[in-house]
Amino acid sequence: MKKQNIFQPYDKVALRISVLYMIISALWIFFSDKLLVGDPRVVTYISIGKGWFYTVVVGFFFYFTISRIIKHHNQVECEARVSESNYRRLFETAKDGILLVDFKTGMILDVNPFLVDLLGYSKTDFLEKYLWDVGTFKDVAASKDNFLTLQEKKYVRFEDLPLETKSGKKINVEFVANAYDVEGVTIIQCNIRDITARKKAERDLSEAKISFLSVASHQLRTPLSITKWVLESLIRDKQATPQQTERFNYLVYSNERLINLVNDLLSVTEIDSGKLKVDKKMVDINKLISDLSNFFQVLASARKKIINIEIPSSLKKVYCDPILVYEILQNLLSNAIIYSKEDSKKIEIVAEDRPDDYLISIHNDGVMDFSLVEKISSFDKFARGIGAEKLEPAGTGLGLYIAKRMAEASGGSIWFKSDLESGTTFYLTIIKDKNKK
Amino acid sequence: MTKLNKKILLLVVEDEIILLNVLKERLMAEGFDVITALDGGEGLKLALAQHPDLILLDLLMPRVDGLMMLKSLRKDRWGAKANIIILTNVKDVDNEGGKLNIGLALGGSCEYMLKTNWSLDDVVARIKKKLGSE
Repeated sequence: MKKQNIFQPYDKVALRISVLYMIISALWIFFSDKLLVGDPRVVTYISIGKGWFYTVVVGFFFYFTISRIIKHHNQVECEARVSESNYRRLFETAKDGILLVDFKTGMILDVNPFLVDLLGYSKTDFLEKYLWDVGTFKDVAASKDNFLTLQEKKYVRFEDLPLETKSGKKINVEFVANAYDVEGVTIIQCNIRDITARKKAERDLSEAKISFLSVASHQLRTPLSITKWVLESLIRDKQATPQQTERFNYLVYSNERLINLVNDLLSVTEIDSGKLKVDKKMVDINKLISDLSNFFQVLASARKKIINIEIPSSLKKVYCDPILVYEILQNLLSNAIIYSKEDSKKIEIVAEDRPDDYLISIHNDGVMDFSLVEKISSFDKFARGIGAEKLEPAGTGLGLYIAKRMAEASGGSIWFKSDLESGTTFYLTIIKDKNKK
Repeated sequence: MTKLNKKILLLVVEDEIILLNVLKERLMAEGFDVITALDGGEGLKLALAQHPDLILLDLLMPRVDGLMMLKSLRKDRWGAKANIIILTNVKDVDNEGGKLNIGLALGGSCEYMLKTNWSLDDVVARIKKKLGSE
C-alpha cells in the first residue's frame, strides 16, 4: 500500500502558527521586565497575564492540531483495515485457487482455502515451500523452466493444465500467473481455475456430435441406397417404356445429388468436429491416380475430355493417407471435368518429386468457367463460382472446402492458378516425411 | 461367370429387407447361389455351416452386428481366410474405433464398400474381381 502523508495542509498552518506564538510568547516573558517601565507590580501583572494568554492560545492551537493529526491518522488506519479485510475476504472466499509466490525465490507466501480444498494439500504443505516442491506442481513438466519464463515475461498462462491432486485425482485447470509490485517487493499471483467440469462438458458435446454423425450417416444413407439400388434394378429390367426409363433416370440423378450432398455434409461435419483422422502409410501413388482416372473415365468421355497422367518413374511409393489424397484429387478432378469450358478437351494430372514434398497438379487447358475466381480463392464452404450452378446443379459448393481442410490435415497445401493463356491448374502438395523413405 | 460348372455360393448378411431382396435378386440373375441372414448371429451360423465362397456383410445390424460376427468368424480356421466384402452405410471413420477397428477386422481377405457410393453393377464387378483373382 502507498505510504500516505498524514499531515493535511491546514494542520501544517496550525502547527506553524502555534510554533510562532510559542516563540513570541517566550521572547515576551523574557524581555517584558526590561522593556516595561513604571509600577513594578503593574508590570508583573501585565507580564504574567500576557504569559497566560499566550500559553492558552498556544495550547489551543496545539490541541487543535494534534487532535486533527490523530483523527486523520486513525481514519487512514481504519480505511487500510477495511480495504485489507475486503481483499482478505476476496482471497479467502474466492472460488478460484490463488497462490502468492515470491518473485525472486519462487517461495510460496500464501495460499487461499479454495486451492487447499482443490488440491487436497494442507496449508502448511504449501507455505514456505518452493512452487516446484509441491507434489501437484512437481509433475508439471519443466515447472522450474516455467518459473524462469515467468520471471522473464512477468506473465504465464496455461489454457488447459492437467494436474493431479494429493489423492491422485486428475483435474484440468486454467493457470494464469502475473507478477506485480507491492511497495517495492515483487509478488507473483497465480490464479488457478478448475475447468474439469467444463472439459467434461466439451468432451460430452464432442461425443454427442460423433454419435450424431454416426447415426446421421447411417440413417440418411440407408434410404438413399434403397432408392439407388431399386432404381438400378428397375432400369436394368428393361420392362419400362422409354418415357418411364427417362423418368427413372431423373430419379437416379436426383438421388445421386442427395447422396453427394449427404457425403459432403458428413465430411464437413467430420472435419469441423475435428474428427478427421489422418492415417498415413506407404502408398503406390501411380496406382492411386490411375484408379482415380479410371473412376472418372465415364464422366470424362461423356463430356468429351481426355485425362492424361504424367508421373515420373522415380515416383512410386509416397507416404500419405490414401483415402484423404484420393478424396482431395477426386474433388479437383471432378471440378476439372465438370467446370472446364467445352473447348477444353485435355485434362492433365502431373506428379512431381520435389526436395521437400510431392506436387500433384490437375490442369485443364481452358479457363475455368468460374467468372469470379476470388470467390473460390477462399476455399470457403458453399462458395461456388458464379455460373457454377448452371454447369453442375448437383454441386454442393463444399468440395474445395473439404479438399483444402483434408490437405491441411495431412500437412500439405492446396491452391490454384487460372488465366486465359495457361488455363486452370489446381495444385496439391504432400509433405515428405524424412523418416519414411 | 454366367456359365459355371459349380455355382458360386454367396452369403448376404443384411438387416434391411429391401436392400437384401434387391441384392439377392441381382446376384441370382448373375448366376450366383445366394443364402441370406438378417443379423450377425444368423450369418455366423450359416457361414460356418455352409462355407460360402464370399460373404457380403452389413455392419450396423440388430442383435449381433457385423463387426462382432467378423471377429467371431476370424477365430474359426475356415473363417480366418473367408472372403468378405463389408457392404455398409457406416463410413469407416464414423464407427467406434474408426479406421483402426475395421482395419484390424480387415485381416484376411476383406474389402469395404459404402453402399450409397456404389451401384449394384459395381458390387457385382467387385465380387467377380475378388473371386476371379484368387
